[in-house]
Amino acid sequence: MSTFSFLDRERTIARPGYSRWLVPPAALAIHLAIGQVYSFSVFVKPLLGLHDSAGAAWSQKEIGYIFSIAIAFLGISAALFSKWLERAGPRKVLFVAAICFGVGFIVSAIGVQIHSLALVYLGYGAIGGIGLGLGYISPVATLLRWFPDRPGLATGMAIMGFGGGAMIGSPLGTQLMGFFHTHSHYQPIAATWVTMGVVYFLFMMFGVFMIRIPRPDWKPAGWTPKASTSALISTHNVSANSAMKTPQFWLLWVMLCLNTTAGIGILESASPMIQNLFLGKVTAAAAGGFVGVLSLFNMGGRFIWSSMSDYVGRKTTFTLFFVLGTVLFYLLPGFSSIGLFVLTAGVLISMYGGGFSTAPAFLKDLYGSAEVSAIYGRLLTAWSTAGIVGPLIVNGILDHTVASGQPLRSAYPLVLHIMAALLLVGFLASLLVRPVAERFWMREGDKVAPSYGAH
Amino acid sequence: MNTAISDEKVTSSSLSVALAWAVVVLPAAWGVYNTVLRAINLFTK
Repeated sequence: MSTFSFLDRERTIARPGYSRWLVPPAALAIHLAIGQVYSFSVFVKPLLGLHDSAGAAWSQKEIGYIFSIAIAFLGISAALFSKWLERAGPRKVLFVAAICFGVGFIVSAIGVQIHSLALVYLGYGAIGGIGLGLGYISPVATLLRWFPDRPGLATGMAIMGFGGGAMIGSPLGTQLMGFFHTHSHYQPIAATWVTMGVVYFLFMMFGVFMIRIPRPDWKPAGWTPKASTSALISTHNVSANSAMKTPQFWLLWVMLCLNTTAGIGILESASPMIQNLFLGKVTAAAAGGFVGVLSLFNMGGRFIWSSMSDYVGRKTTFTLFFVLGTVLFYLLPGFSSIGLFVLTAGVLISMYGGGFSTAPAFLKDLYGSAEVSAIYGRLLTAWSTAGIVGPLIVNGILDHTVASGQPLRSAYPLVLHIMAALLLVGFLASLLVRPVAERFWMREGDKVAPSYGAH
Repeated sequence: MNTAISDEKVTSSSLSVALAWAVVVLPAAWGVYNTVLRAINLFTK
């Protein structure tokens, strides 16, 4: 028997009587760990202060690429390995994800120690980014199979963890750097990354060992699949390759991309935005508090909106995001009340988070659960695209405003109104989503990923 | 006839479920606590 046979998909199938409530902690352990990527900003200032032996330092732009590469590799790896995720089963995938995420930190630490930005790009960006992509999808798809009665709740639980990961990663990174700065002779960032690599690897191992998949014929106690109450909830499965040929996949891709781009419109410059729009009224420390409030809304929205979608439907939920989002983004720059501004921005960010968690449940409704990980992996390229497009729009407008000698505060209404326009396009896309045509359905005898039953 | 297996006879103990949740809830709660502390800055002069 191979040393690593415990990773085999067959060894991951839950024994009879296994409580499905043991599976969300496994998924959360993975997402709370990889969600650290959203707290990368705590390292930006310390990295800017590093110099090589000749006194050269890295620029803000060069450091900014580290995060962008990680998010790009998240989308690329999720799409490229999407079919393998189905075949290998979640434990093997999450084990590889934990190794990539942990090793990414260690390689980056070496990069910081020898002042090699290329090594940091390779470590945190590429290797760590692959860990993100592999670790993101598998827990979500696994929970969808354990909670066929509440798919929105299932995806909300996992993806809420990704939002919460930044809340752990930010103070952890800051406190570790402070500790190594005062209590050791090690380079503080390098020592912090080595520590985080080891700690996150071990935390993810908890998820690796806890994760289980249900038997193909398993269903929750007392639950019988109801005759569908909505034409958008299919009782049939669609393969990943066929899903790519449906207009619904590309409409959902556009919806996720635009919803994410709009959220980035606030998140990318939240702190300077509130300080400039309320000049002299909001201090830098208070602006940091605004970022904290947005993090809480981001995390809460991931759970609340997708859980709500179990009752009102995914299409209605997305339509609400786009209608309410368009109105609120349009009104936001005009608010003179700080409280109203903060609350509105919070609601908008909750819908940004809600888009991430509602999308996989929407995929499950449209395409069934047989190959939902593979389909979801491909959909995540929308996120990577938004991760590039969103900052380009925001920073392009801000740079142009500064270059033309105008006050920075005059740029934010334009940024927010562009986001409102993007959400209007998203609304139109959501209106076009129809049930998947019968010709795309899997037929009897079509090959389905082994052990994954089709609920 | 529906032959699907349900988990009507769940054998996982409540303690193991509670411990598993504690492993993830405790660090998450620490993160939320730190975030709330930071967010309070917005509402204090």
